[in-house]
Amino acid sequence: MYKLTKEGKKYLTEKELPEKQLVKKLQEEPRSIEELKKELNNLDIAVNWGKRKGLIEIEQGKVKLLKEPSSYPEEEALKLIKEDKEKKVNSEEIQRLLERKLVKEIREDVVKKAKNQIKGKGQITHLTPELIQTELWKEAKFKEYNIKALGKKKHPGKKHILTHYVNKIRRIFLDMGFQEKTGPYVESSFWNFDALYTAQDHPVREMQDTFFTKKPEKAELPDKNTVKNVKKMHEEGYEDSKGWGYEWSEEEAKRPVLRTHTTSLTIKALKEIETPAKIFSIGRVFRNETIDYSHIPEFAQVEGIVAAEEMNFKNLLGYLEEFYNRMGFEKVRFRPGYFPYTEMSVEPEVYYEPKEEWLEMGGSGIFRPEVTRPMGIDVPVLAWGLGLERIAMLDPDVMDIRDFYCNNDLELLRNKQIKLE
Amino acid sequence: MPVVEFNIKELEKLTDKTLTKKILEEKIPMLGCDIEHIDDEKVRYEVFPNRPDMLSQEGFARALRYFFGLDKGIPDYKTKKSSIKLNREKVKARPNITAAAIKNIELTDETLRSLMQTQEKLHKTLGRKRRKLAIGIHDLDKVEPPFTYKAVKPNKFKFTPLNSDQELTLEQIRKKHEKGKYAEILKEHKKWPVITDKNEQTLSFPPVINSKTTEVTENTENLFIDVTGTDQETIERALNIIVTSLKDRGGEINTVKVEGLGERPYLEPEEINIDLEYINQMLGTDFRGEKLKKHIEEMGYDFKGKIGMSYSEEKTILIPPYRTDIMHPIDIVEDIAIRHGYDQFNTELPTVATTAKSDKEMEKKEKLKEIIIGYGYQEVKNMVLTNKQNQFTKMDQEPAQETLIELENPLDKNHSICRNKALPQLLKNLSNNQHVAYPQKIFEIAKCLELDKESYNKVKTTEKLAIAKTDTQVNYNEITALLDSFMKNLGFEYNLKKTKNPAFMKGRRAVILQQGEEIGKLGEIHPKVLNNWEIEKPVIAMEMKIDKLL
Repeated sequence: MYKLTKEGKKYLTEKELPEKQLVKKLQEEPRSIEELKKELNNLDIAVNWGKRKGLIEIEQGKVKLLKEPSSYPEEEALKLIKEDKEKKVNSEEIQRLLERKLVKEIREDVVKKAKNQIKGKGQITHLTPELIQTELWKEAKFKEYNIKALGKKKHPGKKHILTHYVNKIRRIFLDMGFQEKTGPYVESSFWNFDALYTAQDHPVREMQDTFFTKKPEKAELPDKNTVKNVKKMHEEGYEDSKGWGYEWSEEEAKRPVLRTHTTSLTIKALKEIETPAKIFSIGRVFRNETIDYSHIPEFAQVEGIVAAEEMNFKNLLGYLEEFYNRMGFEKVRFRPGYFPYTEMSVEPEVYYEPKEEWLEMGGSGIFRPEVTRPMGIDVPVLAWGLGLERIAMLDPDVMDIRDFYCNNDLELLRNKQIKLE
Repeated sequence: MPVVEFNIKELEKLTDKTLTKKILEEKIPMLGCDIEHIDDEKVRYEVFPNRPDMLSQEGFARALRYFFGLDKGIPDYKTKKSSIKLNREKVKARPNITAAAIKNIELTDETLRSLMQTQEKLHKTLGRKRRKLAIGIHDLDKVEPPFTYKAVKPNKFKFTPLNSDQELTLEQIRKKHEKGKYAEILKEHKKWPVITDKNEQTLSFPPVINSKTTEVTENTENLFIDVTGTDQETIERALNIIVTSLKDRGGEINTVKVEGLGERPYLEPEEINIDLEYINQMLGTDFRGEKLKKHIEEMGYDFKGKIGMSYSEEKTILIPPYRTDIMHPIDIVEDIAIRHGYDQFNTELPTVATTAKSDKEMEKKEKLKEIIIGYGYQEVKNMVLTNKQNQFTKMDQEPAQETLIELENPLDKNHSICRNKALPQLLKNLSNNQHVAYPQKIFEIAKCLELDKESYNKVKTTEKLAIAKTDTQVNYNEITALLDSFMKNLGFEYNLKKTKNPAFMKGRRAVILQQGEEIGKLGEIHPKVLNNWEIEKPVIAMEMKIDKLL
C-alpha cells in the first residue's frame, strides 16, 4: 500500500510540482538564477527535475525554457494514489514517486494488521498506529467511553508538606533582605548554652530536657579569648552586669548536645559577621520530649536575627509584626515572655481566623548584654524564633505531628492539597 | 515551667480587687506569666523562672497590686532582733545555711496551703529539686534554741520524721521513707546534715525531711525557718521570698543569729545604677520625669533622689529584697516596659539596609528534589534519631560502632542513635504504608551523621539521597536507569561495580562509583531484609552521598 507523504500532499493540493512552477516563471523569457531563488522556495528540486525531463537548460547563470510539457504524469499518479486507486498507476511511476519522496510505502504486514483490526462488525477499543498509517480508521467504528469514569488513580510526586512551608518562609526572609545560615546538629554545650548565658545549672541543661551524646564524648571549645570572656560573664559579670556568680566549668561546656535551638548557630554567625546584619536559619532542633500526637523530640525551628545600631524594643515589635503579617497572620499582639538570653523577652501571639482565637507563635527578644558582649558585638540584637510544625499543625488535614516525621503517611502526603499562594 | 494555683476569691482578698474573667485572662498575663487554666473557682498561672518571688501566692498578689497601680515602692520589711541563735559545725555535704523566725502569725488553712506550695515550688525551681536549696519550716515553740547545724553518721543518728510513727536512722529514712529519694543528693558523703536544738531534739534532716516534733499546724503561732544548700546567695534569696510572703500574711519577721554570718534574714534593698538614656534607647521611648519615676515605683522599686526632666542622667534604683533576678540595668528596663504595657508600644519597622543571600546548598538540594519529583517520587522526611535495630540489624548489617553517634540519655530504646544512613527509614516508611495504593515511590535527602576526629564538634554531616520504589513487580534495571538519567541530567560521570552488600539480592546489586570513589549503592532489596521489615512487596532502592553534587 502507498500513501502520500507530506510533500506529496502539498504538491497535489496547495502548490504545484516544483518543475511546473519553474516552467511557468520562464514562459516570457530566460531568467537569472538569483532572481528565481527569491521567487521559488525549492529551486534546486525544480532545476534538477526540469533538467532530467529535458524541459530547461542553464546558460551563463540564466535558466531557459526548452519546451512546455502537455502534462505532468506525477500529478495524475498522486491523485490516483490519494483516491486509493494505486493499482491504476504503473510501477515505473511509483518508483519515481518513491524516489522523489512524494509517496511512502506501507508494509504489507502493517496493512494486514490494520485490516484484521477492522474485520467484523464489532466496535474497536484502541486506535492503533496501523489504523492511523493506513488510514483504515475511516472504516472503523470506535467504542465510546463513559466520559466521567476515571482510570487508575494518579499520584503526583511532590515535595513534603513541610518543604512547602520551609520554602515559603525562606522566601519571606529573603524578600526582607535576610541572609541564610546553617549549622551542625551536634553542638558543644558552649555554643548551645554557655555562649547564650544559660547558667550551667539551669534546668534546661538537665538530661530530661536535652539530649547529650555518649559518642562523641567531648567537643572542642573555640578560641581562648572567647572562652575567657564567656567564663568571666558567667562567674562575675562584666561592666554593668553582676553575672550568675558561680564557678564556671570548661568541662561542662565541652559536653556535646543535639542542638536544642538554632540560636547556637546564630550566635556563632554573629561573632563572625559585620553589622548591620540580618540573618535567618531554618533547621532541625532536638528536645527530650516523649512522643505523642503533639510532641516529637525533633522539629524544625525558624529563626530571624537583626543586629544593627540603634535597634530598640519598638523595632523588635515592628519586625515581628511584619514577619507574621507576611506569614499570613493579619493581627499580631505581644505579651511578656522569658528566655535566659533575652531581655526584653516577648511572646508574640497571632489571631487565627478559622478558630477565632489568639495563638502563641514562638518567642522573641533582644539579646542580653551578657550574651553579646563576650562575642564582641556592641549593637543591639533582635531575635525571634518559632517552631515550623506549629504552623503546619494549623492545617486541618494534619491531626498528628507524627504524620510529618515518624509515619510519613503516603495517603496524606499524596492527597495534600497544594495552596497556590 | 512552674505553675501557681489560686482560689480566685483568695486572690481577690490578697489584692483587694475584684478580678473579672477579662482581668484574669487578658490583663494578668501582661505582667509576664502564662494563664494555664481557669474555671469559676480556680485559676492557674505559669510563672517565669526569673520571678521565683511570684511562686508564692502572696508574692504573686504583691506583684499584681503594683501592676494594678495599688501600691508603689518597697514595703517596710522591718525585722525584730530576737535572741535565737543557730550554731554551725562543718557540714561538707551541704555547707550553706541561713535561718529566720516568724512570730505571731495566724496560720489559716489557706495560708498553710500557700506556704507549702511556695516551699515546694522553690524546691523545684531555684532549689533544682532540693539540690541547690531546701527549706524547713518548724513550729518554734516545740523546740528550744540555740539550734545547731551539724553532720552526723547516717546509720547512727535517729529521729522520728514527719509521716512516721517510729524513730528511724537517716539511712533507714533514705531506704523506707517516701521522701527518702532526696537523700540521693547526699550519697557521696559519709556524714549527713541535721539541725538539732538545745536538748538534742531533732528539727530536721535537710534536704530530706523534718522531724515530727516541729510539725506546723493551724495552731502554730511562731515559726522557725531554715534554708540549707550549696550556694549562700541562692538560699538567702529563697529565705527572703518566704519571709516577705509571711510578712504579707501578718507575721512578724524576727532575726536569727547565724554563726559566722550574723543576723538573718538580710532584707536591705540592693542598689543598681541606671542611665536614663539607656532606658529610652532600648525601648525607643522618651520616658522622663515623674512618669518614668512612677513606672519604676509601680514595679515595686524605690527611686533614690529626685528626678529631673533630663534624658541622660545616672540614677540609683533600690531593688526589693524578694527580687532575685536583677543582674543588669536591662532587667529594670524590661520591668518599665511591662509596667507601660507591651500592648501600649507602637511597632516601628526600621530600614536596615542589607542584601538577601540564600544558602547555596539549600538551593541546590531543592533543584535535586525537583528532578527526582519529575520521576514521580514523593518526598518524605524522617527523624534523625533512630536505633541500631532499624539502621543495621533489619538491613542485615553489622553496626558501624566506631563511627556511630550515640546518645547518653536516649528518649527510649527506639531513639538512641543518630542516623548514618537514609535508606533504612525509607523501608520503615514503606512498611508503614502497605495499605496505601501501589506503586509507591518515595525519596529523601537526609543529613546523616558520623564521628569525625577532625572537626571541632567531632561529628561529620553527610547529605545523602535515598530513593525506593515498591510495587507488585519491580525491575532492577529501572533503578539503574533512574540513576543514569539523574546523573546525566546533572552532567556527572559515574560507574557501577559488583558488590556483596547483603541488604540487596545477589546479581541485583551494585555500588555507585564517582571518579573511583564509592558514593553509594543500589539494587533490589533482599527478601530477607523485606521480611525483617515485614514488607510484602518487592523493593528497588538506591542511596548515595550527594556532597559532591552540591
